[in-house]
Amino acid sequence: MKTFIAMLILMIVRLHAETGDARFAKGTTAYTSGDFAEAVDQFRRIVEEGNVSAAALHNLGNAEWRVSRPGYAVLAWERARALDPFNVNTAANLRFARSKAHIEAPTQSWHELYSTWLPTTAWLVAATLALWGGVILLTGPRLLGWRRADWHQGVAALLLGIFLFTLPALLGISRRAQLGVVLEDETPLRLTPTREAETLVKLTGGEVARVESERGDYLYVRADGDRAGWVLRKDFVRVWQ
Amino acid sequence: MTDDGFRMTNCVRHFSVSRILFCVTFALLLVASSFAQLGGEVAPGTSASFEPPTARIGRPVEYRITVTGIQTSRTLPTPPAVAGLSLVFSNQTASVQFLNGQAVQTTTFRYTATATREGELTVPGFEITVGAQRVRVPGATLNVVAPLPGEAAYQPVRAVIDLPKRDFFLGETILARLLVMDTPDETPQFVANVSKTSGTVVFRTELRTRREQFVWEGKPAGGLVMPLQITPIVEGETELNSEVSVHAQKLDPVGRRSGFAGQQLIMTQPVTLRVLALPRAGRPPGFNGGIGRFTLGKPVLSATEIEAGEPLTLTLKLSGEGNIEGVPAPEFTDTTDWQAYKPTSDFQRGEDPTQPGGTKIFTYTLVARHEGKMGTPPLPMSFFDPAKREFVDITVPPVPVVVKASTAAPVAVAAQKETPSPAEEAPREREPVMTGLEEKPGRWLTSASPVLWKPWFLALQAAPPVLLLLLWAWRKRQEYVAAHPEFIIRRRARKAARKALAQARAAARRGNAPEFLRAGVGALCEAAAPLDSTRAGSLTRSEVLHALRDDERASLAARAIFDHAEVTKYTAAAAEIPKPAVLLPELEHAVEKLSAKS
Repeated sequence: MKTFIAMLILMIVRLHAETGDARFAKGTTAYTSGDFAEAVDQFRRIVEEGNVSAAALHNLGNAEWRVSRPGYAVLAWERARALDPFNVNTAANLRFARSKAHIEAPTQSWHELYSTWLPTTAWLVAATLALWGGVILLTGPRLLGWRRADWHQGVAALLLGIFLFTLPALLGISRRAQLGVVLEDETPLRLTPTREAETLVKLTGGEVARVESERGDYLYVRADGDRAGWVLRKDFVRVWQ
Repeated sequence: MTDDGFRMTNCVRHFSVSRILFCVTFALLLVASSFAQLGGEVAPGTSASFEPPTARIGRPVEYRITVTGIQTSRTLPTPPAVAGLSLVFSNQTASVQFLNGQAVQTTTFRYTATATREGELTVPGFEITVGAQRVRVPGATLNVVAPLPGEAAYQPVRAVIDLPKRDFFLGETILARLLVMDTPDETPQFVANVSKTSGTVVFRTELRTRREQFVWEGKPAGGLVMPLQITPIVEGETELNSEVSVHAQKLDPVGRRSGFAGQQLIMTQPVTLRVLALPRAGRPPGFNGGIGRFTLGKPVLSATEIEAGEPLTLTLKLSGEGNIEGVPAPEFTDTTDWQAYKPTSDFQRGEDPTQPGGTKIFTYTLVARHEGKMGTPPLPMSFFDPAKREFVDITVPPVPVVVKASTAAPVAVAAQKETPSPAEEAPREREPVMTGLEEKPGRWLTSASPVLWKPWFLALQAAPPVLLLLLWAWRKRQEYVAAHPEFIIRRRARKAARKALAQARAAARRGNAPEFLRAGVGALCEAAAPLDSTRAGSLTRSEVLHALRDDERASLAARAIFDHAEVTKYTAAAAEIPKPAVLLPELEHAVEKLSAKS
């Protein structure tokens, strides 16, 4: 019975991956043959079906850019970069998009920049292992009645030191969770969270802004240059949703 | 002192006195102003009214709330609901006046009021917060009368999306129009914003509208026309809705401007687009995603006679309507005779910026590989015409060129020598370009978000502290047991007593008296063992009875069980032993008493 369940899970996982692989290939073919709308459709379906990879998001961004949707392209590239911060192609595409759309890269604090040095999962794993490893090494021998050795304390100090180094990155990750992308061009930034509110300024598709509060269907966001106001939820999507 | 010196001293003195006088006056004014502000703070004034105060059913009028004071309301007042009267916020205006040295602000909140029943409808007074104060807005009454005989219902401006009546294709740029129509009661003045509310399409608007007369559903109409460009990006049927923020002028019953205007948000009627994928079959070579109606101009060469090694430029102009801006330059497939460099492209919008389409200019640089009479390589090019539903081949045929032997080779070499090395050239700022596709999908994940906020990750973080807590509890117990060994002895004794008692019960059920008595004695000894800090097997009858000396019933029961057990053990007079079922409750009582003591 256990073997059957394990095989079933394995088959489902494999089927899932195969669907993603097949769609990835279809999307790439459509893109190279110039059928960018079809490519968008295929790459987007990959994401909608619950499969995500940095490469698929990168390609989705390229296809979205080709169908003139800079906001969606930047969103896909930002998501790809969050998964794989070492991908120079995605970083280059973001620079390209910002240069073309004449928008500034988001201003980030030092701990946010620090958190981009490694993938978020790597930071979290490092912080978890370092903290609990250190605590267990400090307390475990005493609790288990073992003789306390010097190496216990040495390794515990090293691990807790590593944990201290991960703390700014964790803060940066939690702050980056508030970053999002304006999807459509000419998105009105409103004075109040109401449909009839006065439009303060219009944001460009692809601009990155920071969510500061939420009310109903509206988000209070702050874009570059301290342009702050309310936008409709549907016009603004967080990079990590 | 000279005259000049005397004049100078006087001047300086005079200047100093006037300066001091100015400072003192200014300080006094400041103090007076502060006192005025402290003592003169008055409650803000409010008023509410309908304009005009009489309305017909279904015809909108304006309801105004005005707040005047040093501070003003920053939150939108919410008037109480009145049956038969709808109040929808329209806009707010603010002005500042300086009265007695104080800035007095006046804020007017305007609502569109529409009555649905006849009679006097009163919006009762209600309170609002102005600064830190609660202020009462007075009530206002609207006199509503019945509509005139034959009068039509009020018609606000309406907006529709005008699409060509046909099926569309993925990636096609559909040229549509947004029509914001005049009605007998309202005239749209300008469109402030248009946004798509549903539909998987790329939706581009041009806010430059034009007032036009047009035909809609077979009837002539007038209003504002805004060009739209819609690009479907998902195959299948999609319903397109949009939200239009329009500033409209209300008209009076005879069609004159009433002076009552406001911004309103209207939804367009949903339109359904049937989107088809481009045909897979019959795609000519050179199709690179162009969808629309294009024409290709005559290819232009920079020269018809060139020398070997000399670059030749081929320029092509593709004009028309469709997704021409995004069409990439097609590339040569046959480059046997020519070396072709990566083409460049440039897009030029048409003269009328509100009209889509334009001209895309592709520039190719070719260098002949050998001399002779030859033609430029053919350039496969095609596009898809959505109206005709077919691919159109516009392949560029070879253009004849004469390539002569090079006469400037030595000069070219000399020139090459004089060319500064790349290191000596001034660095050029390069424009960023979009990189290509990733070839492999890489590792698949279920979400792009970090696991930081996933419930399982948080649960995982709780595991180590729980483990440490359990370990600590276990350690503490070990220490306690080491310090108090009687704890274990008692526990073992209770367990053994329970086991012996269970055996006694089983024997009682079976009616096996000798077994019952043996188990009963065992249960009593086990229960009494911790009281003497010894092993149960070494306890004597008198020691057990001594432990039960305070409870007569238990003592008697224990004595009886010991007696009968001894009788059973040493004699064969089994007939005198009472039934185990009779002794069992007494035994349970005695064991319970002993266990409680230990």
